[in-house]
Amino acid sequence: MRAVKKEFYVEIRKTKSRFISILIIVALGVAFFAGICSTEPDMRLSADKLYDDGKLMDIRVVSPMIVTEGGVTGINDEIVKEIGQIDGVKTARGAYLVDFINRIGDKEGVVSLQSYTEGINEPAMKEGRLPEEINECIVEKSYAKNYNLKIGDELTFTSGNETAIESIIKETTFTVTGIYTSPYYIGRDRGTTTIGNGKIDGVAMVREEAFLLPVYGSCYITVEGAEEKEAYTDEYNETVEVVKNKIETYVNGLDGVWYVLDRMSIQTYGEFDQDAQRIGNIGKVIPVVFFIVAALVSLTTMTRMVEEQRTQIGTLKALGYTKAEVASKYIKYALFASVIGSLIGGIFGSLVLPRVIINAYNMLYTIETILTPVNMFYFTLACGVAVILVTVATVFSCYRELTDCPAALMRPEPPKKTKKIFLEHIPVIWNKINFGGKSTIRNLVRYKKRLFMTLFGISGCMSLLVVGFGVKDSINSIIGIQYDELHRYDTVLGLEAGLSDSDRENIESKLNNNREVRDYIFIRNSSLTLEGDEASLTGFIYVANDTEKFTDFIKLRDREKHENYQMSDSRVMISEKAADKLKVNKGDTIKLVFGDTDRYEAVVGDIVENYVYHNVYMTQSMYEGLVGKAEYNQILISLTDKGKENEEKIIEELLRCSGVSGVSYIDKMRSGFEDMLGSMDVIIAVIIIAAGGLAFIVLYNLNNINISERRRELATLKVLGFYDIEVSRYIYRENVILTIIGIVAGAFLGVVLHRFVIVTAEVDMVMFGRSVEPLSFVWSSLLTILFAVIINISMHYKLKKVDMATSLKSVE
Amino acid sequence: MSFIELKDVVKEYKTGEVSIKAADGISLSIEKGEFVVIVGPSGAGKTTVLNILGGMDTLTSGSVIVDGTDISKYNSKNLTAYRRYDIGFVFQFYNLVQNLTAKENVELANQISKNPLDAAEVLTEVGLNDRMNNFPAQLSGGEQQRVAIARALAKNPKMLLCDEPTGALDYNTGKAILKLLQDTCRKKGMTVIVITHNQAIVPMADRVFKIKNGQVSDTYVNNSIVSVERIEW
Repeated sequence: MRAVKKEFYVEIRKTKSRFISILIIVALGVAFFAGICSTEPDMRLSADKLYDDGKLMDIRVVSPMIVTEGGVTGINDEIVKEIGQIDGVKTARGAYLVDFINRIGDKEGVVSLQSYTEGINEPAMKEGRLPEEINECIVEKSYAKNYNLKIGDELTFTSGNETAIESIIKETTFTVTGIYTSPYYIGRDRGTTTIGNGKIDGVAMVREEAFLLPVYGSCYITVEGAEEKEAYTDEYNETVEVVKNKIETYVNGLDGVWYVLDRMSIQTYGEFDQDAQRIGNIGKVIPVVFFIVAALVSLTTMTRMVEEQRTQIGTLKALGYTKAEVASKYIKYALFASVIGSLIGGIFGSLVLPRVIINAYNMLYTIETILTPVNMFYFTLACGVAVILVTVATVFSCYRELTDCPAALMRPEPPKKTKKIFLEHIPVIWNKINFGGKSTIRNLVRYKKRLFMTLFGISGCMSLLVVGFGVKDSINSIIGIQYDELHRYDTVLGLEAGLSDSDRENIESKLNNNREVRDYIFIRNSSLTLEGDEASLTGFIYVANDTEKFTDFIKLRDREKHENYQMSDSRVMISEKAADKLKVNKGDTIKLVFGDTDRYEAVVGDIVENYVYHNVYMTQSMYEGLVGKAEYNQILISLTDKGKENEEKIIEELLRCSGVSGVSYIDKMRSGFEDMLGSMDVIIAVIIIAAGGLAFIVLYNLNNINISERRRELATLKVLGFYDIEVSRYIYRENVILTIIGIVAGAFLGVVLHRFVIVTAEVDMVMFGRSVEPLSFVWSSLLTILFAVIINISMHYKLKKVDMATSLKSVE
Repeated sequence: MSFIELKDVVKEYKTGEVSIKAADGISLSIEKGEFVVIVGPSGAGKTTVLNILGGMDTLTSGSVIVDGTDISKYNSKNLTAYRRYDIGFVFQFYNLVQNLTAKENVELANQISKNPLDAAEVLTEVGLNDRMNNFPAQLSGGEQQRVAIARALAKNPKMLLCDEPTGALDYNTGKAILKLLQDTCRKKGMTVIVITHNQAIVPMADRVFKIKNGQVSDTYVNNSIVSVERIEW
C-alpha cells in the first residue's frame, strides 16, 4: 500500500474520537432531517394502506327517507344500481345506518347500527367471525373496549325516538360474534346523533337482511382507479372529483333531499391529514439548526487537526507534494466520516423517526400498520447537504496551512501577540478584579474563535429548548383561552330549518324553566367561503340580533390589548388569522360566499382574537340588509355549575323537543382538541433530546479542543503544584461565564425561532398562541446548565489525565 | 542521611510486549545547598530522574527520600502537595502562561505557596525590574527564562530542579542564566539540580552525576569549583 494511503488509515485509527464526533453530528443532522421530512408522507402512506385494505368508500350519497302520499323517496335498490352504472364508479352499495339506544348495566348509550356492505367499508375482524344470522352482530373495537363486550354477549336495542323499533329492524336482541375495526373510524370520534345524549358511543354491524326499511340511508361508492392512487394527494382528489360531479348531476334529477359527500366528510380523515402537514412544516425548520452545528463542529475539528499537523504538512510540501495532494488527506478524512454518518443517520432516521412519531399519534388514531419506506428524495437531499457542508468546512479549515510556505510550517507556530485588553485600561475596574478573574477575562478575549463557537453551541441548545417548551406553551394556552375566555358557553343546540313559532316557543320555555340553564341566545351560524384578493378560506359566520348578549357568549376583543369591541351594523368583524391569510385590514373589503353562487361584499371592521377555525361576526340587521332573512339555526347555552354536572340529562330533554336537530358539547370538543394537541408532547420530547445531544457534542468537542490547545499551560499549572480541582477551576470559570451569556443569548434567539416555528407549523384552521411562558425559560435554563455541568465533570477527568512530562517536553 | 536520596530507582515503560527501562537502578545522594549537575547523552535517563525527583512521574521500584520523607509512596494528591510546597521547576522552554504578564506569572506560583517571596522583589533580583508588566511574547528568551526562575524561586521551595535551562538560549545568555542559578544557590543556600547534555559546564558544580543507559556511570564531588563566567565552551 502506498505510504500516504497507509498513513490515512492509521490516522483514522489513532484519532477515533475525532472521527466519530464528526460522524455522529452528521448522522444526527441527517437522521432528523430525513426522518422528520419522511414522516409526513409516511403518515399518509400508512393511512392509505389502512383505507385500501378496508376498501374505504371514496364517495357517499346520503338521502333521508321521506314518506309522501306518492310513496317513499330515498335510496332504493334501483338507484343504487343506476349509480353503479355511472361512468367511473367501480362499486356502489346501499347501506343502512340507524341509531338506537343500548343499555348495558346502568350505562345507556347510543349505538349506530350499520349494515354489512360487501366490498366497501369492510370490517377487519380482530376476533371472531362475521354475523351469519340476522340476530348476530359484530361490534367495533372501541365500543367493545369501553363497554367490556365479549363474543357471546347479547345486546338489546331500543328506539331512541317515537318511531317503533319493529318497523326498522326484525330483531331487537343480537348476539356478538366478533370484534372489528373499520377504516371509517381511525380516530376516537364516532359522530353525533339526534337521539339520547346526542353522541354516538359505539358502532355495531349486522347483516343487511336484518333491516326492514324500504330504502337505504346511504350509498357507498368506490371510484375506478382511486384505490391505486394515494389518499390525500391531488391525483386522488381529482380522480374522485370527476366522478363526484357526475353523481351530483344524477341525484339533482331525483326527488327528495340528496347529499353527495367525499372522504373529507369523515372528521378524522381530514384531521389526520392536518396532523401530517403539521409535522412536515416543523420538519423543514428544526433540522437546519443541526446542519449548521454539523458544519461548525466539522470546521473546528478539522481546523484543530490541521493545526496539530503543521509540521507534517510542511514536511510533505518540502518533499514536493502538491497542495491538492496534501489537502486530499483531510478532505478524504472528513468525507469518509460524513458519508458514513449520513448513511447511518439517513437510514436510521427514515426508518425509526416516523415510526416513533406515528406511534405517538396512535393515541388519537389507530393506524394498524405503519409503513416507513426510505424516502429517497429526502434521504439523498439530507446526505448531500451534510456531505457538502462538511467538505466545504474542511477545505476552509486547511486553506491557510496549505498556502503557507514549507519552512514556515515546520517552525513552531509563533505565539499570538498578547496585548493589554480593553478592560485593563480602566484601572478602577481592573484592579478590583481578583487574579483568577483577570486570567479568565484575558483568556476569553484572547481565544475569540473558541469563545464564539462555545457561545453558539450553548445558545443554540438553549434556544432549541425554549422553542420546544414554548411550542408546548403556545399550543396548550390556546385551548384555555379559546374555551374559557372567548367562547363562554357549554352547549350548542342545532335547530332544524323552517322552525315553527310554536316549536320555538316550546324550546324557549323549556330553557326558561330550567334553573340550571344560566342563559341562552339564538344565533345563526353557518359555513361560508371568505374571499380576499388573493386567497379564499372556509370559515363560519356568526349572526346575532342581541349584540350585547352575544358578546357575553363569544368575546370579541383584540388579542394583544384585550380591548373589547362592539359589533357594528355596517362592518363585519373577522378573526385574526383569517385577516392575516386574506391580507385584509380594518376598512378593507372582503367577499362572503355562500354555496357556489351567492356572493356578497362587506367592509371589514375590528379584527378579533380567535384560535380555532376562521370566523366572521355580523349583526342581524347587517345580514338582512346584505343577504336576506337570518334564520336562527343554533342556540348557545350557558349552564350553571350544577347544570354542567347534569349536562347530559338537560340536553336529552331538549333533544326530544320538536325542531331540535342535534347538539354539540363544548367540553367534548375541547377535550378532543386537547388530545390532538397533547400528541405534540412526543414531538417536544424529541426536540429536547435533540437539543441536548447537540449541546453535548458541541461543548464536548470544544472542550477537547480547548484542553488540547492549552495542554502546555495546563501541564505547567500541574507542575507548579495546582491540585486537580484547581486546574479544572481554571477552565471552569470560563465555561461558567460562557454558559451564562449563552443562556441569555439563547433565550432571545429562542423567542425569535419560536415565533418562526409557530407560524410555519401552524395548521390552516388553528392559530397557536404566540408567547412563551416564563416557566419555560426556567426549565430551558436548568436543562442547559445540566448539560454544561455534565460536560464540565467529564472534562475534569480528562484534565486529570494530562501528563505533565510529555506535555512539556517537546516544541509543539 | 543525605538531603536527597535515590535508592535503586527503576522506571519501566511497558507497551504491550515491549518493555523499556528509562531508569535502570539509579542511586544517588545529594546534600542540602549543593549545586548538582546531572550530565549524559540524549536518552540516557536524566530527565526521567528529574521528573521522578520532582514528583511529576511515578517510579516502578526503588525509593526517593527527600528531607527524610519517602515520596515514592505518595499518592497523586500528596505528590501535588509535594510539588506545590517543596519543588521549584525550570524547563527548557520556559512554559510561562502567555496570557499573564511576567509579574502575574510569578504571582500565579505565589498564590499556592505557604511562604512565598514577594513577586516584584524576586523579579528585581533576577534583573527584570523594568520588564515586570510585559507579556512573555514581549520578552526575549533569556528574559523569559529569568521569569521562569523567578517563578520557581518565589515559591520558596526546598530545591530547584532545572531541565536543560539553557537549551534554547544562546551562549552568552545561557551563561548569564547559569550564573543566576549559581548565585541563588550560594546566596540562599538552595539546593539546585541542573540536567544538561553539555559536558563543559560540569566544573561549576559541587557534585556531578554522569548518567548512561539508565544508570549512574560516574559520580564525584568537585573539589575545584569554577565560577561560571570563567568557563568557555
